[in-house]
Amino acid sequence: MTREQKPRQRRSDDPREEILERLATAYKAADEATVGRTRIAYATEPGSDPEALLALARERFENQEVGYHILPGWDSLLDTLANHLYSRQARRVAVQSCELFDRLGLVQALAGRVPDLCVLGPGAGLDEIAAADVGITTCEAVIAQTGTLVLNGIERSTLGLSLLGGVHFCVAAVRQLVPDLEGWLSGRPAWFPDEACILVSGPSRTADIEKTVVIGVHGPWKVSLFLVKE
Amino acid sequence: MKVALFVPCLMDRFLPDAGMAVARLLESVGAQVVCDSRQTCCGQPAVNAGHPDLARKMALRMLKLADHELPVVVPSGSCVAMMRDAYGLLDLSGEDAERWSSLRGRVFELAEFLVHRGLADRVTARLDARVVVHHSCHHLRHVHGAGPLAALLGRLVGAEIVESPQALQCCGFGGVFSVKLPELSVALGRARLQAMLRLEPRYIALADAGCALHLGGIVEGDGLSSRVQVVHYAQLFTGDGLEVG
Amino acid sequence: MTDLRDTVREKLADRALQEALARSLGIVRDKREGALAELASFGDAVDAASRVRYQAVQRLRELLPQLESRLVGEGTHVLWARDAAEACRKVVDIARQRSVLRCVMSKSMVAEEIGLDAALKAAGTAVIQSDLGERVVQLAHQRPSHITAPCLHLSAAEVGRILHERSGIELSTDPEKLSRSVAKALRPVFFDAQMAVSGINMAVAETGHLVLVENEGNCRMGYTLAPVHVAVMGLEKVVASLQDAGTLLSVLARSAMGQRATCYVSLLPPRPFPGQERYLVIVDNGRTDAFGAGPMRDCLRCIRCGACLNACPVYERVGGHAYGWTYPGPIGIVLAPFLGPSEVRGEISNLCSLCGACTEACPVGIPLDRLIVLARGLSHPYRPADAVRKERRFLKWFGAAMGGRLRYRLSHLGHRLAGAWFPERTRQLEASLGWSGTRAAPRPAAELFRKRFRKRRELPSELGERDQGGRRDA
Repeated sequence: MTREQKPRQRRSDDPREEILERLATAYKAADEATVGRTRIAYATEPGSDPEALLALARERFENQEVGYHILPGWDSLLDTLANHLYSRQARRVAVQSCELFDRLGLVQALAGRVPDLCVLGPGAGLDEIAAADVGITTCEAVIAQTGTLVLNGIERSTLGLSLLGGVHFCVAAVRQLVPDLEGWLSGRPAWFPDEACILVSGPSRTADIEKTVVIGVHGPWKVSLFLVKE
Repeated sequence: MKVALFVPCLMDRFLPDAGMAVARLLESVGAQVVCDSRQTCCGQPAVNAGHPDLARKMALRMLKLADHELPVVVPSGSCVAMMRDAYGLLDLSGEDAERWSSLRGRVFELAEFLVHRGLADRVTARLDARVVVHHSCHHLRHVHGAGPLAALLGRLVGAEIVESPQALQCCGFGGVFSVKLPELSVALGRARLQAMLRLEPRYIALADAGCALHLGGIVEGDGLSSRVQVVHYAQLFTGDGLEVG
Repeated sequence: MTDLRDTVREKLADRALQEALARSLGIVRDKREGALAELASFGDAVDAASRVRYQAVQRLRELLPQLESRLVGEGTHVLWARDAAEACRKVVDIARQRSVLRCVMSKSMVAEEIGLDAALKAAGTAVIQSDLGERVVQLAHQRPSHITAPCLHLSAAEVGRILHERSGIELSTDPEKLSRSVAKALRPVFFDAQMAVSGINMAVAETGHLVLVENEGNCRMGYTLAPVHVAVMGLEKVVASLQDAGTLLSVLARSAMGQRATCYVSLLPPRPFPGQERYLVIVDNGRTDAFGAGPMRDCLRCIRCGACLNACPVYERVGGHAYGWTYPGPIGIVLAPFLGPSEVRGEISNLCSLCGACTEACPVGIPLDRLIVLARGLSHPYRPADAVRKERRFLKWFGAAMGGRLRYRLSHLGHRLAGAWFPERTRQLEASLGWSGTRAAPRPAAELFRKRFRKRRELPSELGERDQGGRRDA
């Protein structure tokens, strides 16, 4: 024998008003001891030293199955990407529409260097992107502490580049390395309020069955970062 | 130094040897032990069963009896946690609240008391045996007593103190839990016991009478009494009630 | 409802369950230790995260309207729901207006809590769960047994059999093969779905961002491909600023499954994607009751990482289903008095030995074991009245026996004599409480400690001096 739950008395016809009123009624001032914020510190704090940041990021990438290639300069980027696509026998790649790739002439360069390669540039639809073997994007920052790539975009098709293909290639400059997420979010860039921001810390994975880690579920099974020193 | 000893109800009734060991250990470091025999139970069972109204009377009685200046030493982590923190659930006010705030600052678990007062260094005892320490949860997490206990056990010459891989996990006693879901309670206890027995100890030492009765009951029920004895750690120092061989 | 003790017995006897739980939780605990070791101090991280959540809960009254105005200003629809039925009705209305035949749902505890899956189905919208574990339990017609790992209670062999029988996937016991097959089968579903339903992990009041945390990419697939995205949130999920969200993200994954960071975190801006409509449903469903329940308010700090389940010795033995509703484990016990159906509000709080391992594991500092004691106090009206009466009668008797020196001694004597004069009855009583057979009942000592202590005082002590202590003991 259990007592039935009493239906709560409705105070208002508008759920919003009722909920806010209930919160206001029960409000009590905050306990002073718990006000204010503190920052989370890590066992390894690389500071802003580029070498230390890079060393930490590399360790994290290795541990999280993020492939990385450190390139001496932008000149070598196109050849390196082309070689990777060729050795993967990629037939179709989808490339992000962005200033950096325009400046590098990435679409033309890849099409010219890899035989039989279909390069999808700006305007590709989500269906087409999903049919690509590799999606290539830039990134806004690389977070060393967690080995995280910070991607952004306004269009869903841009976000699809790092999600729908089996392989995701990401291009970044070494100077984009930052220590940790909290710090990066506090000094966030101007695009932030308008664009979606996706943090990628490795290829998609699951451990739902017997806690066995399986790499490559709905998203890419391979994430490679091409980090360019300038 | 004078100390007020509170031997909680379970120890008083079921494990008087452990109580004697506690008293003797305190005396061996020069403490003058007084023990008010009007003390009974701190009220923990009713609080933990979700009936704070029924615990109130016991708690108030306890506070009244402890209305003095002496440090109160209790050889049970859960009772210390009750008197130090959980009395806060009883909405004490006025004189009772004052008594509680006085008691909170001077109620100590045994090892905690000995170590914090610098008395542990005076302990000299010898026991040639292997001992596994199982951490009672409230002693571990509310009293933060693992450090002081390790320091005190460091004074026990000849003993080989081993930590069980499952020593930080609940033995399954849990007061009312042990009678409401006994099968689960025993299953948890047996798992910890089996992990400990793999280390082949002569004694399993705890800081709480309830956990000791529970684990000791399983040892007896499983016919393991000749292999291992479950004791309060104070017994290791004084030998009270210790089975040898 | 079956008796809790029977449920527990049944779970203990289920060997497959015991093995699955022991193996999975063993792995999670090890991983978590490694992930926490990368923090300078877990205690400091807990302090930082607790502050963020404490203040957010404290300021709900102002943060929710702030969030709403950020979202509405940018074109995201915001809907409010007082209870499960109202929330479901609102989502069903969206599906009806858009003639949604198929929707993909990514793992959401609040959707599970309000029964959204069933409500949509009843209204003619097919719901396909897209998280791997969630899909498995959906196909098995079960409910998730863990907050972050829905099919933790199943072995790979059982998962293989379910997938084979219910969705024609080739029979296998290999987690890798099974996981890939499910993902492959779901891919066309994402492209087909006319609506994506997700939960959210946080909503940022200051900027209007919705934060979604996942590993598989199913959540991203859902909101990237469907023309309508409906996000459902419990009203406590709001945080003040992006920086606050960053603080929580730094402990969430580490605490949940021992990962440094999950593979994907999506921070969706307040303006919906071009060509997509977005809705946010803010659900109360008992949360404002918790808000007004004194110290129990702390349960609203929860970020649903599941660390308390992973640490809990009881959860490890009984699994999530024994708790009988959406939220299992220690957090399930403290949420039940406010969010739970009345059937679980009675006995669920007994699934706890008050060991405090949950409190120690909680990354946002919820004093779970203390709240469980309070939840027990709230449980009595939902328990069988005679059980409560019996319990109170016993405790009153106990209180009386402890109420004075003489009564105390008499009760001890009574206990001893009962054992001597009525051994059979005594044994029966002990056995009914589980103190017999495999766990021998403690026997009252022939002489109380206090008596021995006093007697010894009357004799010369070992040191050969007359002891002066214990005079109050007269």
